[in-house]
Amino acid sequence: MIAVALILGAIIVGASVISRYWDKIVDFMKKAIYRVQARIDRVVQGCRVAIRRLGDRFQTLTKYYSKNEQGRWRETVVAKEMDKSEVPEKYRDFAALEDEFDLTPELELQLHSA
Amino acid sequence: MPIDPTPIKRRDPPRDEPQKVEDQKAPAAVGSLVERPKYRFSDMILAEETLQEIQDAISVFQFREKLFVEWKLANVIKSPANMCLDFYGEPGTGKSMAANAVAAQLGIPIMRVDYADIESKYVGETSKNLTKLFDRASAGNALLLFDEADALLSRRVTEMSSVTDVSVNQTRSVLLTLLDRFSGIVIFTTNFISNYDPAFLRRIPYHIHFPLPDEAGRLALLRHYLSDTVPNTIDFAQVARDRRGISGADIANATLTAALRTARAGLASMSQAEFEAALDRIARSKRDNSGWSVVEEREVSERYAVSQIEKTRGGTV
Repeated sequence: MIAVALILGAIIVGASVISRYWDKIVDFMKKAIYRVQARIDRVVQGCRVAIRRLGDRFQTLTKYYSKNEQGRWRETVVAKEMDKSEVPEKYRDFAALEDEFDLTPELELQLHSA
Repeated sequence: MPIDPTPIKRRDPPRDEPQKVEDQKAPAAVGSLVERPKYRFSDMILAEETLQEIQDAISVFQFREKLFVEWKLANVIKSPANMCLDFYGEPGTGKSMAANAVAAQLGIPIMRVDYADIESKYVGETSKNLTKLFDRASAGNALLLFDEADALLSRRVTEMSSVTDVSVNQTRSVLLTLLDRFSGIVIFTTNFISNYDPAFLRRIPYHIHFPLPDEAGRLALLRHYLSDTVPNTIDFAQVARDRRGISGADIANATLTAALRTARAGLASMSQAEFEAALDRIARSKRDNSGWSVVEEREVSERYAVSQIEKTRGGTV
């Protein structure tokens, strides 16, 4: 799981298809973190990312882990639909039909090399 | 296929003709949650396949006396004691409206449940609240509608490591028992189906998809909302052809927004540009929400959550 602070402070630069993809995803996640927190009235502790293919569409699934006062954990999954042209070929190949592929290590790589 | 309008038997004397929605009287008050249904199928525009699936499902319930008692099918086929349906699909596709329409067709009131209203921070109280709900619905012969039930139906916590994990499972186990015992109709509406607890999948025999409207559906919706009484210069066919991916709710919202702006500007009729601009704003809002669609929400065990935390290249984050 990637700490929320890392996402909120991230700036991804680069002209490659992969950099542009992650720039969009990180931007999406920054907004989603605040919306998820408002929706569930809890603090998000961290997040993960996966990709899934649904027919000819791709969904990047961002997952947020939060805990309430009673210690109850919740996983909230927010999807971003993307056109095939927006998803790097490498990740399109990873995404099997209706099955998720965990991209969290890929995102970590981007965040640490930024 | 013509639909038998005879409502199912209930405590009230049976009627030969279905009551109109506006004529239906709610039974003696069993709580503020029981209401008259707000919509009928004649108020709605649904994909034909979806409508037929709904009618097939409720026909089993509607005609169960004829089928299983009069025609004695109970001798060879188990009569369904209750009816559980799941309406799933994108937001704004008419799931909640259809649940109202089912209640209206059957001539019964509806009781809408928001899980947030019954969830309690106290261990065990959520289960008690659920039981009271089902008792009220049973007493009022009401259709139970669980709106946005994704979190409620998601997979049970399998790696219980705390009292709270146990409570989550207890609530869902109680719900399963209540569904088995309830003799009425329960409808769940959800956006996403794939992570249901298998036990719920077994209890819910009818999963009916509500798709976004196709071009013909969009055209029908445009004609419905922009009726002759709303002066406009809109090319419905063009809008229906060009605007893939919009829902009925999007068209309704765009109609209202465009009508307000037209009236405020003192114009005699709504222009196509104004209506398209309203649709653009809705599309932009959806994109700005970055496809803000919670596809799944579920309680998970502490062990699972910790395993997700630790499952990174660098170990614990």
